[in-house]
Amino acid sequence: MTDIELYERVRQKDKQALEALYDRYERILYAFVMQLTKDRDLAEEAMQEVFIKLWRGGGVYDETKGKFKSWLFTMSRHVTIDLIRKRKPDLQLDESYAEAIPSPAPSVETEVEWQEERTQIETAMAELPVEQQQVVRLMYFQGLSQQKIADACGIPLGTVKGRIRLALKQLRRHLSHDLIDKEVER
Amino acid sequence: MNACDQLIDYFNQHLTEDERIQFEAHLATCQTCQEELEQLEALVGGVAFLSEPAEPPSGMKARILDNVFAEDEPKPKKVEPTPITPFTATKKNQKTPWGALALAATLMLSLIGNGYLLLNQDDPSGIALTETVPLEGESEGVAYLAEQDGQRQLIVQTNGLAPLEANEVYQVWLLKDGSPIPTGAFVTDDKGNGTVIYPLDSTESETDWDTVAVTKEPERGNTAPVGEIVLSASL
Repeated sequence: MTDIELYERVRQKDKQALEALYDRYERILYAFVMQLTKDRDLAEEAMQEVFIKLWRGGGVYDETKGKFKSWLFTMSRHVTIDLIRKRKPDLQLDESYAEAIPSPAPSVETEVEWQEERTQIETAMAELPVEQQQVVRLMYFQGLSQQKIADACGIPLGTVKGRIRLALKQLRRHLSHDLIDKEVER
Repeated sequence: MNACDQLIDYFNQHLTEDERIQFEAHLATCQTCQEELEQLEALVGGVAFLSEPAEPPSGMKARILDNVFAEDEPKPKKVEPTPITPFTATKKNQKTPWGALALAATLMLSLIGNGYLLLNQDDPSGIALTETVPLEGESEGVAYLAEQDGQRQLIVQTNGLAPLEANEVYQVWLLKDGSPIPTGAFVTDDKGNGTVIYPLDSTESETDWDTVAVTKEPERGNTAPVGEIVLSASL
């Protein structure tokens, strides 16, 4: 069953469909919210918020807006950042993280799920100049303000957007349509 | 900074509530921002796969799904009261020292509905209401005389009572000819909801009492009312 079919069933209050979506996304979503929170308890809380939202129908997915996966991760990211701001208002990327950009996580053997997607994005990232990789990570995983991104990269505030735009354009070129939404390819 | 320059801070949720509302108004009319936002969002589903693998804690699935589905369990507070035939009330409508005003029928129905849910869902063990009396005063409230396994009870429920100070309590009294006995105290939640269930002496009959009243007391344990009456009704 596709994500969208499962989602439609969840909208009809089908518990098994929600469980199936949960099983499908548990590992990658958990990894993602862990990346954002760096805190296991907070990550679990975020996961719960995400699935409560799905179950209650808060934030409705609209097929014309793009891929379900993008919507799910965007919604999860939103929920998680909200939670971080609430629970740990002081949690910010410190500049030390910005200096030491971790290389893409090595894919461990047990991590067979989503292997194709992982490889694809890692490869696409590796193609980017280091400063673009940095801005992508600061943007998506650290959720920094534009000013902090500028500070971390040592570039003028006005340059941040341009650099992000460039990085996204490069990434899109290397990613299959499965990982990004077609309509942004225009 | 022009409005378009706030896109990243909007995406990363750094705007204040006012700024966010303003930016969303801008977004609705700015095609460039709409497209850029779409592009930012479209890639979340891709970059998410850059996350370092992390092992989900054991038991997380069960905990989360239990909690998610528990959201659906009916809770008396959230369920809309179902209008039901009112229980027979042996109300005498006599004037009390505090005066009695008739409450709107809709309010009574709604409160009886709440009581019905409380009594029937939280306590399925065969409790029978013998009298239901809406309370009059500063907020909504209702008093029930009930019987369970031969034990008679006075139940008082309130909704929308004013918040209490540190040691204050709401105290329920039964009165006959103006002399009160304390029949339980309670504190309210943030909506002014409170409930007290007080077992009555089985030898006493409801005709022993002519009034039920709720006062706000400066402390627990007063044997006679000190504070003002906030709710009352004749029995």
